[in-house]
This record gives sequence, C-alpha cells and structure tokens, in this order.
Amino acid sequence: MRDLLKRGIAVHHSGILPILKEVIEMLFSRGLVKVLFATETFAMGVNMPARTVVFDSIRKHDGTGFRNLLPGEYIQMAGRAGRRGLDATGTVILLCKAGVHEMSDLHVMMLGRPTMLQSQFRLTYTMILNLLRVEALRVTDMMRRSFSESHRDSQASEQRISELKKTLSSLPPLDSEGQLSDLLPYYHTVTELRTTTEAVQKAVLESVNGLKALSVGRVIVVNNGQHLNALGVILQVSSDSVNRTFTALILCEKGNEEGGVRNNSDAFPHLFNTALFIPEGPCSHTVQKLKLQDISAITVKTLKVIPDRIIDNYNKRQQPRFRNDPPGQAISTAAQELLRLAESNPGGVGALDPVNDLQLKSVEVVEGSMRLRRLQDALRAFSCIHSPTFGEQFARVQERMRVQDELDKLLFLISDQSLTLLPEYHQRIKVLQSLQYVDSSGAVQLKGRVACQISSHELLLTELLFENSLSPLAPEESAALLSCLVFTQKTQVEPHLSNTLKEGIERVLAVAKRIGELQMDCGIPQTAEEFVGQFKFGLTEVVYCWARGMVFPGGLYAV
Amino acid sequence: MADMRLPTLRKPLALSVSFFDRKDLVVPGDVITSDTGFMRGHGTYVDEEKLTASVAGEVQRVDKLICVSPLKTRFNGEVGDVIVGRITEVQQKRWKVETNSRLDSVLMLSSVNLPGGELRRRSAEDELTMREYLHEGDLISAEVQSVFSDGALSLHTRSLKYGKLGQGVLVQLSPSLIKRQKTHFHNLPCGASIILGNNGFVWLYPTPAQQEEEAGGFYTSLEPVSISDREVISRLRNCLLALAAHKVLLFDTSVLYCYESSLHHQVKDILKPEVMEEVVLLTQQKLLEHES
Repeated sequence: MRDLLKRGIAVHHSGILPILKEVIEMLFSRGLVKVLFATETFAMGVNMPARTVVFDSIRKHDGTGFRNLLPGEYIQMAGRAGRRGLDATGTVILLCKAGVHEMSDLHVMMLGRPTMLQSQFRLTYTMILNLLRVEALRVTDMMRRSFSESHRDSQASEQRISELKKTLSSLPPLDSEGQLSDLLPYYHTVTELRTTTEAVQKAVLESVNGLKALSVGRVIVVNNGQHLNALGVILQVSSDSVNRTFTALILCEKGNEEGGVRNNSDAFPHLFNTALFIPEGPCSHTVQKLKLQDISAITVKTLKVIPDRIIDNYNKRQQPRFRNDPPGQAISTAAQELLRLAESNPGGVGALDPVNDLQLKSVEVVEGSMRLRRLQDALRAFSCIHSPTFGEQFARVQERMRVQDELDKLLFLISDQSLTLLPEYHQRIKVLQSLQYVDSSGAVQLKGRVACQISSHELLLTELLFENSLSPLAPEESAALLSCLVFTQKTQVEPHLSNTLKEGIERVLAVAKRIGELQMDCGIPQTAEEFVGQFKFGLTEVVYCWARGMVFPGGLYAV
Repeated sequence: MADMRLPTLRKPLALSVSFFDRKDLVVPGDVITSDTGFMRGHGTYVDEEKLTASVAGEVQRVDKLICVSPLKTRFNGEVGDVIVGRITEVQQKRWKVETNSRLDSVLMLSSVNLPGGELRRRSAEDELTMREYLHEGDLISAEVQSVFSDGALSLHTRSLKYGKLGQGVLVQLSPSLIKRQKTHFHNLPCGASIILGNNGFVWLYPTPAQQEEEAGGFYTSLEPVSISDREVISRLRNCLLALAAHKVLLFDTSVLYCYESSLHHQVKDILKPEVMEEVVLLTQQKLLEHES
C-alpha cells in the first residue's frame, strides 16, 4: 500500500484494515491521493468530494441479487463529483465495458426518483408502557415527533393561529341587548338552513325524478350571482350528463340583462326569505344557460312555451343589427306569464316536495326536508330580525364566526386529535387496560411493569409468566417451548414431542389465541389467527435435544 | 386555654367496615392457600405445602402470583415513582438522599439539570460546586430512574418540575397509604399545591403565581407567603394526618374532600380524636358517593 500511496494511488474497501482505511480517508480529503479505487461505502460517505467520479459498472449485488443501481444510490455516488471552491464542474464517467448500456436503464437510474423516506414508526406495547411510567412525557408527544407527522407543518399553523386570535380580539363586540339577544342562535339556524337546503337540493337535482322534473316548460327559481330569487322557465336541457346546463328564460330588471355578478353574498344570507324578485322598473327578460347550482327550487308550475322560437328570437336580438327590435310574441307571452306568476305569489311559489312529489325516499333526503321545514318555522320565531340595527349586527356576527371557524379548524389540526396514529394508540391502551397492565386512570400496574422489561412478544410472555405455565417445566422444556418466539419459518416435518411439551404448546397457543381475540375486539386490524400464526414450533424438538446436552449433528436431521 | 386530656384506650377502628371493598388482611403466620398452583411473591413463604404470610398486610393476587403487601413498610421504589427526599450526604459526583427506604437513594450529578439548562459533560468544576446547588438538609423532589441490584434507588431530576423545594410543609407518612396515580403533582383548588411522593413524604406548598422560566428547581422563592396561604397549608397538613391515622388511601380527591369536610372546624381542632373521626367519616362518605 505504501508504494501505491507514494505514487498517489489508493485502494479502499472493507477488506483493508480499519486503521489503513482511516489513513486513506485522511489523505484523500487533503488531496494527496490522486486516484482512489473504492467501493460503495466510501462513495456513499460524506465530506469526500472528488473532481471526477468513474463508475466501473451500473450493476451491483445487494445481498440477494444482481441489479441496477437505484436512482438514490446513483445520485449519492455521482453527486460527489466536483469540489466546492476547487472545481468549476464535476465530471461523471460511466464505463461501458460490455457495450453501451440500455437507454432505458440509464434513464431510470439518472432521472428516476430516489426512494421516498417513509416513517417506520411502530407503536408497540413496550413503548407505550415505558412512556406511561414516566410522568413527564405523554405518549402523544412522542407520536407527534415521529417522521410520519412531519407533514403537519405545525409552525406555520401556530403563526396563523396567533394571527387569528389577534384578529378575533380586535373585532367589535356583539350587541346582544333586547331584540338582538337571539342573534347568535339565529345565525346558527340560518347556516344550518343553508347547508341543509344545499344538501337536499343536491340530492334532488341528482336524482332521476328531479331531472325529469327539470324538463322544458318547468318554472324554476334562479339564485346566482346575477339573479336573486328570480322566476325562470326552462327552455332546453343539455344532453351532457356530466355538466348539465339548462337554458332558461329569466325575469330581470331592464338594464340588468347582461348584468355583472353582484356581490350579494352579504345581502341574501340574512334575509333568508323566499320572496320572489319582482322588477320594480320595466320588466325585461334574459335567456341564459344555467348550471345545477343556480337553480334553487323547482316549482310545481309549468308553462306552455315554444322554446325554439324563444331562443331564436333572443339570439337574433343579441346581434347589434336587431338589438332594438321588440321581443317576439312567444317570448313576451312567456315573460308575461312569469311576471303574473311572480306578482300573484310574492312570497314564493310552491316548490316540488322531494319526498312526496319526486318520490325520493332516501334517508338523507327525507330527514333533510323534515329538518328544513322545522328550521324554516323556527326562523319566524326569532325576534332579532325586527331590530333596526339587524343588518349591521348580523354582518359582525358573520365576520366573527368566520374567524372563529378557521381558528377552530387550525386548532384541531395541531392538536392531538389529528395524529394519524391516535386511533391505534387508543386501541392498544384498551387492550392493556382489559389485560390489567394499566389501570383505568393510566397508572402502570405490576403486570405492566413486568411487560416493560420485555422487548418483543411482551404480551404473550407476561401472560405465560403470570399464569404460572413455565414454573412446573424443566429448564430444557421451557427453552424448547420458548423457541417459538424466535423461529419464523414454516416446517413440514411433524415433530416428535413428549406429552409435557405438547401440553405446553397447547397452553401457549391458548394464551396467544386469547390475546389475539382481545386485540381484535379492541379494534386492532390483526386477526387472532394471524397473531397465533406468529408462533411456530418447528424448532421445539431440536432445542429440547440441544438443551438436554445432545451433541450435534445428531439432532440436525430433525429439522 | 390549653386543651389537656387524660390518656384513653384507643378505640377499635370501626370505620373500615363501611367500605364495600373488603381487603383481605393477614398477619404473619396466616395460611393464605393450600393450592400449589400459585406462584409465591414477596411477603409469603411455603410451610409444609401451605402458602403462609410472613408480614402483616393485604393479600394481592395477580393471576397466579400471590404476594402480601405490608401495611407498615419502608419504601420499595419502582422505576417512574415520584419521591420527596432529603439530602443527607454530598459525595464525589453524587448526593445521598434519604427517602424512607432501606438504603439511602443516590442522586448522580449527571442526573440533575445544570443551572441555565445547558447540556454538557460534567467537569471537575461542576463537581466542586455541587454543594452550592444541593447541600445537606435540602429537600428535593425527584423521580426514580432505576433500581440497583441491592435495592437502592437511583434518582433523577431531569424535568422542570423536579428539583429543590422551597417554602412549604413536609408531612411524613407510611408509603403504603399513597395511591399510585398518573400524576403526583396537584394544584388543589383550595389554594395550595401538593406533591404526593410515593415514598410517603408529602410536600405542601403555596401555588406559584407563574411558572418559572429558568431550569426547574434552581430558583427557590424567598418571598413571604401570605397568611391565607399559610392557613390553607396548615389545614391541609392536619387533614393529611387525620386521614393517615385512619388509614385512608391518599390521593388528590380524598385530600380535597377531607379539606372541605373540615372547613367548619378550626385548624388546630382537626387533630383532636373525635373531630378527626368525624371529618374522616364525612370524607369516606363523599368518596363512596363519588365512586358510584
């Protein structure tokens, strides 16, 4: 080695003495070694950059088979080409000793995604018991620090939470005197009403009967950015079942035909009424394509309309040449009908009842419509709507509630309740409590303390210990029985065992079955059979012979 | 006027009869069982195939293990127990702490938090300044880290809530009276705080106004404690003595109920036998209601 090093060449692999390896590493980092022949271990290491990296081959043996380099490995090894401060560029050379490599292989190796880091954090009983013993730590704190929870980004959430808290305290206080005393319940009722209506609407409009009802001629109530509770009549239904659009003739104000989107999201929630829109000025109409969300109610009325003529007429008048033409007869009769309908039913035209008229029998719809009726009745009983400052106070409530909702959501996200492993933790605690390792308040009992000392198969071993199943056995018999905890292979050979050993095996399997069933009862997703199947007794006979002092290879044939 | 009494015969304790969980009490020599299928634990011995008790106490059965936990005993520490102890010696790199156990417990220098909360290897200088932090006679709260093979406990104060104790009252009771719970530090609503050490030492102190920012246990407040706080603590101490005299299990709820039941007596009257009995009776009734 010394001769090589004098010439600036070095070799580094696991067969070299450790002290020599360290010498080579030190020389390399100082730049005294010009050419280094090394294996993957050195190539993967840190703080050993080089000017050029040469790959002898892109295949390696990973202990089980010969395979190409993984993207992660390639990145790691090739990435050390180019020393910071000394080289402008780094060079990577791949030798093609057996011919040029396949393009696809190279593509995968160089441009593929490196293996993702996945958390291998497992909740074990031993861990839980040890953490419960210590007063200062909580198991949930430990779980929160695992890599699997790193996506929660708690710092940003904490910042947002403090911002929201500041906003909340700076909002003006709510006036809750006299008539306004039930303002907050009113807000909650209104929000619930809105969400329930939306849910029922959605169900209605997605049902077969609902869509049948939305046929040509049906009078509907339109509610979108442009129209507020305006009556309309359906002229055409598109056949596209995914994004169904409805062409409808809608009543509106003159001048509002094209209409921008009014920001009336503040206005209509609190005046949650169904009063129909009646144009104050000269009545006009517009033909528009509507989506399902824009239709807020399907009324019981239908009109006789000639859709094609109406649509043609309207489209004609959209052209600048015909803009000032008076509307055609079909369209004006339809508009007149709608206006008459609106004026005769100012409070709202009866809507199709989902349960009775549309024959929707699903539980959600029936319950939803019942709830709607109750809420609408309850709305009338509130006194706050009569207060003179109602509008302003309601806006304040809305603002406050909005901030509060966001705050609650964020608090939930960073709290213990949103840990991914929390349900499993509760299940395991339940198992421990029913086995009396931990009492109901979380203090560790005697059995739990014994289980703390055992690192694997803790439940089975503790149960065996406390059931006194190991003490009547001779040492070689207990060693043979306990071999099931380490033996993991399936054997075909039936072992020849003495009666005591057979009884011992029965007992161990019975305890395992009991624990497995208890785990399943508490909700852990592992069947009792799987749990019992972990314990294989193939090595029992061999261990028994060995523990009695039998010399191998006499016992080897038994395996 | 001083209250003087003549000595009287001790009344037999009739209170425990009202408990719904009859404890299985034995005295040395009592046969527990003749069944040989049981494993024998502490406090028992086998005499002619019969399992006999060797101490006076309560029989505990965990599956097939039978042991007798004595009523009057030294503290046998387990890992994770909270203790209140007094420094008896300052040795090289460790302190010896008296915790009411058979051997003095050991508090290693490496198991305490350095002032300022820094983490570093303890140097020779740290060893020389050990006495400035804890010297003989100081009271500390600590947690048991491990148990040596001879039964001595190794303690640690590696948490902000353990450390040197400041102003307060220490009550020394039997370890078997302290209930094992999730936490032993309680801020009682009556206005004081309590540390129920598993070794039988109970520490009462005024609730600190705000949490200390520095590494715990270093800052002992020498501000004068108000009269009302002192009264609360004195009352609590007498309640503890009353409960201990009647062998009631001590935990935060029982102490609180006892405090509430004693409010219409004067603090010094609680130690009189008949008042003690009345207060403890009320406490036990409240505890029974609380359970059901």
